[in-house]
Amino acid sequence: MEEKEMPKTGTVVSYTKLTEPPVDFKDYSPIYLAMIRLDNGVMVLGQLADAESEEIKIGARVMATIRKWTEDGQSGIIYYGYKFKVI
Amino acid sequence: MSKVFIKSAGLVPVGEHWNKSLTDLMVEASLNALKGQEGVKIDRIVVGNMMSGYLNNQEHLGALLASALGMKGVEALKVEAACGSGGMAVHEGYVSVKSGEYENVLVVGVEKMKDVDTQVLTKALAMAESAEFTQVVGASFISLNALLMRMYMNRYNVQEDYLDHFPVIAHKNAVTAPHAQFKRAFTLEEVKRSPYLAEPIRLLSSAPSSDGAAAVLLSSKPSDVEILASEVSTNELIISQRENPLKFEATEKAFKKAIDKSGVNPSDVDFLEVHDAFPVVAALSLEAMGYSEEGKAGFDAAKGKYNFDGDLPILTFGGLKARGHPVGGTGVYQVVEAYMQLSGTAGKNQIQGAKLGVTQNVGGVDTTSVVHILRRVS
Repeated sequence: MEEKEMPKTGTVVSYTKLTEPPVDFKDYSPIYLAMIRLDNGVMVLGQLADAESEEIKIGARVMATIRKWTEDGQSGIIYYGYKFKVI
Repeated sequence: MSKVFIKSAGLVPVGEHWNKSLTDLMVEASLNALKGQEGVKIDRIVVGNMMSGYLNNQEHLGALLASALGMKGVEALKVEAACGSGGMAVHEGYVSVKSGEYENVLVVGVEKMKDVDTQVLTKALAMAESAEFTQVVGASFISLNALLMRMYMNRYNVQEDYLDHFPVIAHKNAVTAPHAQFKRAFTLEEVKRSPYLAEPIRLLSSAPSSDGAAAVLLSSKPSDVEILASEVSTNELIISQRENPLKFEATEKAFKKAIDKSGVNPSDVDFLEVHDAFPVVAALSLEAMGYSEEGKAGFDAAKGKYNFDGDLPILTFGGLKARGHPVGGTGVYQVVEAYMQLSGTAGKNQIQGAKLGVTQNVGGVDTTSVVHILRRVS
């Protein structure tokens, strides 16, 4: 196995607005989740950050950004990771 | 190798069983299946279940059930394949008998889901998916199917309500099914007006959460119903990494293997218990098995092909949508229902003259698919 860096930009292939997320994400509801084809052809799942629902459509261009995903209660780890912003 | 027959079957009505524990559900289904089989020596117990550890603080279901049935000493184990756990348990039971190593195998599928908060259940169900790539981004199981449904709408240029006939068919068939969770019909209009859970999937186009257990006694000794084939296949776990997420490859392969091994003609099948967790899953499954062309399942459903009196009745007791979906139990319920159809004990839901039936149970988004072909022994 070898690590490969993925491109930061891609295109929305499908999306949904999730109002009842898993318990670890309950404070972040609703979640806009999308399937994104990165510019090298690799498809990934990710949340859309700062997205107003009218901006989201199939074919929308997005860019990866680092955001907080969730946290383990008051004193546990805070998880950061990629989300995508509509550009 | 031995042939594999279903000697008897039993179930617990699907619903909200606040007064019954996980063990109670398994025991009740087992005792119902074992009625009149008192002299039979059980050689192996296989339990299908997905979430008992997380939801009910209980693992080790094999020994638990053997013990509760007063069968200590009998070999027993739990089988897990997400929502396909029940089908996989039947498969494991089938393989046990087929091998000649075991004569009588009791297969039980169980799930008790209603005791926990919806958001906790949503997390538990998402465990069918990759922890590293899917759960971490906050995806729920419904949301993955919603992504798939929007892709389907976009590829085939159809509207959101195109597949709504599937829940309508399910609920219509459940009205007369004594063990169904929701014995009431819904109109297309009611489905369309129900609230979104994850756009474009709505409350009335999503299988419910349920408590339930079902059981079959498999045997190498001839009886009314024979399992002609039991086949399993898997697909890439992460749906975004599939070349074509709208192709249910696991179902296609498992169905093809089952057809090849049994030697039956797909057009001779009298009824089909399809895994209708969401309308898009029913549609992609029927398209993968070749009963509808790609993109045409909604069209065929609208024309009545899959109605109770249509060319190929599906969901004859209401399917996942209306009979209910106690996850690890579902695949066994499907096989029990096929047994009822083929042994002529389906009551008001009887498909007249049914000789050949198919069940298809999936885990994840077609990540594991289990297909059974069953026939009436004439």
